[in-house]
Amino acid sequence: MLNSKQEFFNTLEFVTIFFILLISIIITTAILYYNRKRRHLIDLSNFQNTLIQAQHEVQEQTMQTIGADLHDNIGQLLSLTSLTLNSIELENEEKAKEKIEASIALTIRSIKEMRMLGKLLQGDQLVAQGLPEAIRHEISWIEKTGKYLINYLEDGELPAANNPDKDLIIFRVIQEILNNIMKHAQANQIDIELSYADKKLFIQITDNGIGFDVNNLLKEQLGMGLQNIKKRISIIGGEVAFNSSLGNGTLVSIHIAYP
Amino acid sequence: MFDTFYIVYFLLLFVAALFSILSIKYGNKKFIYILIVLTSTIFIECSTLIINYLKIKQSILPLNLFIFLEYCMFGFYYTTSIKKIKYKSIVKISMLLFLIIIAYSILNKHYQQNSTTFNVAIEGFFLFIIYSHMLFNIDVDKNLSIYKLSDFWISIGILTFYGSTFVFFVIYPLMKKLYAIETNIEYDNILRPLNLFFYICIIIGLICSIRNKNFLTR
Repeated sequence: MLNSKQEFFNTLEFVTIFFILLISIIITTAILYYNRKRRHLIDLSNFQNTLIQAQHEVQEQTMQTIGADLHDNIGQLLSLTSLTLNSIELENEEKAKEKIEASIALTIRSIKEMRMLGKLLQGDQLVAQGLPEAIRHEISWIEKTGKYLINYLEDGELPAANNPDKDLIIFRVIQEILNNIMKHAQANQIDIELSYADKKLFIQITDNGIGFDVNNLLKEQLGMGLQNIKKRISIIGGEVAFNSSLGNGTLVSIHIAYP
Repeated sequence: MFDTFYIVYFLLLFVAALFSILSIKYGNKKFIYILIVLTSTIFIECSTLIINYLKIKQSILPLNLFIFLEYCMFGFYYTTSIKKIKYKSIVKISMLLFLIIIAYSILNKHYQQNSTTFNVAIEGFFLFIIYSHMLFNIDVDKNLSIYKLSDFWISIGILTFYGSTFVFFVIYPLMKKLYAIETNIEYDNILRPLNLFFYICIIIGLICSIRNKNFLTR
C-alpha cells in the first residue's frame, strides 16, 4: 500500500516536472525566435538607413557633377559662342558666315550637353535601367574629364533589374570608390570589371595610382570611407577586399549574392 | 493561521496590484484586466482563509464564478495584445464555452463535488493554449529586447502556472479520495512555488510596462 502510494505521488511529481520542462522548452524556443526576429529587424533597419543615405549621396553627387559640368563645360561652350558671335564683322561676309556656323555648332553641342545633364538629373531612373547602364553612365562622366583611361569590362549577363534598392547601394559604393581614386590615388588608368556567375556578382576596380597601406588606413579616422564601403556591402550580404600597397595601385574586389 | 508562504504570497499579490494600478495610471489600460484578477484573487484567498479558520463549508458557487472571471480577464488581456480578429473571436467563443461548462458543472449534482478542480483544470488547459500562442505573437521592437516587454513576462507566468498544474487538477479529486492528507501536502508542494513564480512574473511584466511608458504606447 505504502509503495503504491509512494509510486503514485512520484509519478505525479514526474508528470508535473515533465510539464514544467515542456514549458521551459516552449519558453526557450520563444526567446530564440524573438532574438532572431529582433536581429532581422535591426538588419532591416540598417538596410533602410543605408538605402536612404545612398539615395541622398547619389543625389548630392549628381548635383556636384551638374554644377561642375555647368561651370566647366556648358558654361565654357556658351561663353565661346558669345565671344564668337560678338567677334562677327558684318563687312567681311565670308568670315561672318564661318563664325555664325561655328556658333551654331557650339550651340548644338551645348544643347547636347544639356540633354545629357537632364538625363543625369534622373539619377534614380538611371539605376532603375540596370546596374551596368548606371556604371556606364558614370564612366562616361569621368572620361569627360580627360584625365583617365578607363577600361570597362562586363562578363556574364546580369539578371533583369528587380532589386533597385540593392542596385542603388552597389552603384553608390562604386561611385564612392571612383571618387576616392579621383581624389587621392593620382592615377591615370582605371580598370572596372563587372561579372556575374552562379548568382553572384563580382566587381573589381583597379587603379594604377600611388596606393596606400590598407591596414593602417582601416585603423585610422581617414579610413572611415573604406569602413563605410565595408559596412554597406555587408548590409546587402556581400564582402569587400582592399588590396593595396604604397606605389603599387589599388585593387578593390566586391562579391555579392545577386539579385 | 498565517505561515511564511501566505505572508510572501499576499505581499506579492498586493505589490502586483499596486504596480497594475500604476501601470493603468501611466496609460496601459489593458492592465485593468490584471488588476481585476489580482483584487478578486485577494478577496477569494482572504475569504477562503477566514472560512477555513472558522471551519465552515465553502460554497462552490463563488469559487466557480472566480474561475470564470479569471479566465475571462486573462482572455480579454490576450485579445488586447493580439491583432488578428480570428484569434480574438476564438477566445471570446471559448469564454462562452467555458461559461456553459461551469454552469453545467454547478447545476449537475453528479459533478458538483469536484466541479471547482475540474473547472480549474479546463481553465488551465485553455490558458495554456492561448498563452502559448500569445508567447509567439508578441509585437517586438528592434530597440527593445523581449525581456523588457510586459506581454512576454505575463505569458510566461500564465503558461508556467496553468500549464504545469492542469494535469494535477484533473487527477486531484481522485488523489484526494485515495490519500487525503498526502494530497494536501503534494498540493502545497506543487502549487506554492508555482504560485510565487506566477506573481513574480506578473510583477516583472508590470514593472516592464511602467518602465516602457515613454517608449511604447500599448
